[in-house]
Amino acid sequence: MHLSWIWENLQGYRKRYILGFILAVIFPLTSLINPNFSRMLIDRVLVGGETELLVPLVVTMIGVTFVRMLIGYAMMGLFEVSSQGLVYNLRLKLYKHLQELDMSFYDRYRTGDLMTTLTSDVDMVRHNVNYVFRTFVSSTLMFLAATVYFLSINVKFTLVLIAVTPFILIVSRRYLKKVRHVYVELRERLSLLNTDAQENIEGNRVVKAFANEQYEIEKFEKKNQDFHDQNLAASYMWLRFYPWIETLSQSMTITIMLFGGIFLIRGELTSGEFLAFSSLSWAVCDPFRQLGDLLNNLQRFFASAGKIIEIQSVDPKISSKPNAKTSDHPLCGEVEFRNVSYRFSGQPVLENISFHIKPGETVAFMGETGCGKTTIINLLSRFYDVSKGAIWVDGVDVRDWDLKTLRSNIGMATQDVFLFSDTVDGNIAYGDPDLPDEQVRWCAGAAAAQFIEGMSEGYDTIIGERGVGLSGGQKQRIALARALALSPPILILDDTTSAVDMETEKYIQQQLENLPFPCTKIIIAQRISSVKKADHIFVLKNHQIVESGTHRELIEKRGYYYDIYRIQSGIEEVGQVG
Amino acid sequence: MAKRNKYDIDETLETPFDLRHLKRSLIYVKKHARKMTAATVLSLLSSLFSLLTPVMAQRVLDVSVPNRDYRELALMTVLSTIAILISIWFIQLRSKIMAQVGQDIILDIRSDLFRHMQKLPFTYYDDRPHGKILVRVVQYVNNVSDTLSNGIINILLEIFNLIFIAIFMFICDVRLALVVLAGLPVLFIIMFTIRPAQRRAWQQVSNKNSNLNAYLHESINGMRVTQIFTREQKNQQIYETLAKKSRTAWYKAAFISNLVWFSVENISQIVSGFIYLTGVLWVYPAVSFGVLYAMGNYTWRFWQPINRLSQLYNNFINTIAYLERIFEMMDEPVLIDNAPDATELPPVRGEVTFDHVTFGYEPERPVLKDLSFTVKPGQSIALVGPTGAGKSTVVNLISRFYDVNSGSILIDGEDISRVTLHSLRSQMGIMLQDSFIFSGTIGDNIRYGRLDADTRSVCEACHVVHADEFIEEMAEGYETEVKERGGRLSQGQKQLIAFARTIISDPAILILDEATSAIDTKTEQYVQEGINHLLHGRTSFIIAHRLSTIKHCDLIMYVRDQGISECGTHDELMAKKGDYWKLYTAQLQEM
Repeated sequence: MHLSWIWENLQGYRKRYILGFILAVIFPLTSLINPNFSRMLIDRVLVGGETELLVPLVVTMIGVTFVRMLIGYAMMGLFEVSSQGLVYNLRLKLYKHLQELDMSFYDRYRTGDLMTTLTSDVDMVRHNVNYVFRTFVSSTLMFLAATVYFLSINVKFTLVLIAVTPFILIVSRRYLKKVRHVYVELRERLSLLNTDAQENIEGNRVVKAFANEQYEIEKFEKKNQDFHDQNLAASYMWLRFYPWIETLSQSMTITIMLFGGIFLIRGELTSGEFLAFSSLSWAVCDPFRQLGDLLNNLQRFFASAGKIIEIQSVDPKISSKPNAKTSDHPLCGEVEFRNVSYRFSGQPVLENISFHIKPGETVAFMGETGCGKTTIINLLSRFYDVSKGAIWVDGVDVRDWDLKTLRSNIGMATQDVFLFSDTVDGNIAYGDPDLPDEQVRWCAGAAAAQFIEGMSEGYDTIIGERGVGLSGGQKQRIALARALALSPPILILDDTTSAVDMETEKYIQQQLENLPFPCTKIIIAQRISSVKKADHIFVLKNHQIVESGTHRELIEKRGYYYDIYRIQSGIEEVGQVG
Repeated sequence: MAKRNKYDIDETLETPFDLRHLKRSLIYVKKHARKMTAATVLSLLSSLFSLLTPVMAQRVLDVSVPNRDYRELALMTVLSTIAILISIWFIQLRSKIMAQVGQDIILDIRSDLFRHMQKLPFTYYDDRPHGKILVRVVQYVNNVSDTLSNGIINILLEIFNLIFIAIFMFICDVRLALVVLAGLPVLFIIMFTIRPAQRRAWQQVSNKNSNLNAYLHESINGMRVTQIFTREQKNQQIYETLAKKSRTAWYKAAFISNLVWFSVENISQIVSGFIYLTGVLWVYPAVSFGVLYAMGNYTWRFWQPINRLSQLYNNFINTIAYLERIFEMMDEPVLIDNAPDATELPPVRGEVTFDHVTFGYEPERPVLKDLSFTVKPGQSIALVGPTGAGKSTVVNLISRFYDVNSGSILIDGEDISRVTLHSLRSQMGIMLQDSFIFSGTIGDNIRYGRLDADTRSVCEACHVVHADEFIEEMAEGYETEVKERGGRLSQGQKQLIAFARTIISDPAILILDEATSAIDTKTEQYVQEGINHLLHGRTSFIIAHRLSTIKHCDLIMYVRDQGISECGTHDELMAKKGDYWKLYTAQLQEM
């Protein structure tokens, strides 16, 4: 299973990999050439006195070595190239796969896990494909070749000599079985170490805010120690088996001495034959002495490859149907929810939600924290699929739309602003990297992000990962500009202006009213000021829509919306501070 | 301030090649000097014992077999077996010791690196992709382990080996031995010639890998945004380019490094050719065939360890590329640190004074200029003003996340730059805009504010900020597992958890930076009620845009143009009809 997996991922490098193996077989054989010449040199030049042969022989030997080294160099090169090629293929595939996976996958796997897989695990596969398999094959071949050669000399002695191999194999098997979980655990602990470090880096502000550095250090030390201990456990596990395997393989040397001696005495073996055996005994012995290293690497390979395959085999829950509908033109932006329910791990998040938004309309959602407002837009852009009911965009069920078509028609500025460590320009043009400069500037202008021009390098200023160099309001405005840059038929503003001051918000609203492209707007907000101009306002409570209407209608209703209105406008003075 | 780094910018490192990094890493190795010496001795002993077997085999051939002496044959076999067992035992012992040494070394390096990381300022984290920091702490440290433990010992052993054989050679024939040694300068010249290229190549490998991983890391964290913006294809292209660069860098490094091995083998062959040439044409008949034969053998034996040494050398060059990065991070200046004579800040009453404070994230662009004010203990202060005016900066300075450029900040009359950071920050409750949630249970996340808090305090803190309701609704309540950044929690819920985390730390000074921006108005009201009695007797700084939430504060400061333009109670400022009045009426009109 793993072999075919490797073969599959070697695509484009298979010929070179095989050629590498061929050279790996040839290369050890070439080491048999020069000893012939040196024997000739000794026999004929030194002993025989044919000095005229000296120079040609020396030159030949140097030439042979040079060619031999060229072969070796080529072989190593081929293995480097093909193993790196495999890593390259694997990385691209995994990356592509990660991009296709939905949020439920990311809810399960931590960033540290995924980082471990795409760095350490992939590298472990590379090391095995490059070095371990090659050594494995050449060792096996060497062993087999020597055995065949030995058999041709003396069958009985050969059988006595290799009688020990089954025992080595049995011990190895037991070792493999025992060490497997050790390496799986080691890999897991590496992943935990990665996760811990990664969260510490991400949360560095929180760590400092609570002066919890010491706690973080202790937490990390523990993971560090765990990893250390498991590494040692793996070494010790090997060292427990090492004497057995090593003794068994070295026992061949003893066998040659003891049985060789006996056979010699009894005349069942000539001294020439004996010499052949003893001078080539390394060829049967060494493969087993390397066994430990190979077995350990193989087991680590299985642990790592297992993890990679595990991730590869997660199917994206959300993907386009085979015959999904696509559209090259922007959609009209009509949205309809029909009796939509959504449950997460058995608990209702939304129940029986229905509404209809005509193209170009602006609707708003309000409601208490955690009432499912964000879920509505997550369902609309298909980050999750509905449990019941259906969502229609332009008269087509979202599940029938091609995912790319659907999402590229939705511009979203989310609550949790994630910016990339790229230039401001690159961040705004994230959805459309070829966006012309003036367009970027226009978007920034509409999002009231003029502060960019005051930054040290204007639009070319690199902002840190997660936009940490910016204030909350500034991040939100860049995120808004990023959404506008798509000229989306459906624009979703999920609490996008919560950290923006009111004056700026008002300006942004004016800009949004006069967008130069047709646009349906869905606004999620806490402030009355953000939603009051909407054509339709929905209030969510207990997973359902409890109020709906225009600002005026809802005020007259004197329900939840009216309460909020009173609190925010200061009509009602509840919660006097201090 | 150095320019910010991003995924496609190599981190430059302009230090010439020197062995300083290796020397410096010896600090970590030295601790284990005794163990390593023991391991070296064990290795030597083990090879000594393993040398006995051929000797005994010789004896079997020369004596036992011709004499048909089964007893001696058996004896030799037993002796060889014992020798082998002893040598295996020694190796096992050595391996045990060295496994420990190798692991201890990386444990120490990683621990030091992480400790240092905890002291590094925000700017360090803000200025580079986080993936680049991550690979240093985990991968790079792992990469140096073997070289620094077994590598060092093996080098010693090979050198012993070399000296040993050299002595034999010189005893055998001085002139021919010199010929063998003559190959060495040639090798050194080759090695020194390719070394700069080789080092650069490995640096490139580490650079390109770092870039690739940084991009990957960011991609994973920003996956949702990528999917929203359907940018998968473009990202795939970028990743492909980076992966290609990383691959090319590796090829280059591998091809250059393999040249060393290639040269060693060829030189050794040429040298052995020269031995025969000189032996036969020049020295002969002064040396016997036997000597020549032996020298041919020695040449081979002499170049074997050199070959292995050159492999180890390659590993060292590779390792240095990682060590450089590790030490570079360890040398990263700790901008904000305890003053040498720092004292513990006594329990805080809560008087906060800004005394002519000037500050800018980049000194030439001041955000605050000559700012002075004093806050009495127990006062609640609201900071209002346009986004980006510097409200967050004011609170960042109080918690000493940054140091002022000039002027000073005093708490209860103590300059905060003269007290220990821990005593300062642990008395403050800072609720940041970014409500980062750690993976673990919700309870753990709240306890992050006070590590020894019991379950009751956790529930109480949640009750204060009205977070208990939604938490208890969850199937596993406080034991519900959340992932980094809170996966399934809504932004408002995360903020409530972060709020509870701040409350539980029971701070003397409370700082709320947009603490309720993502929380709905009703809940916010409950939260307000909850923290009202909490604010009593504590100095608090509140940043908020919804003015209804701050109008009851004791003092409202309007931050504008690098300073405070207005300061007073709500009523005073309204009467003034200035910036605040404008803002407030604008908000009212919006209703």
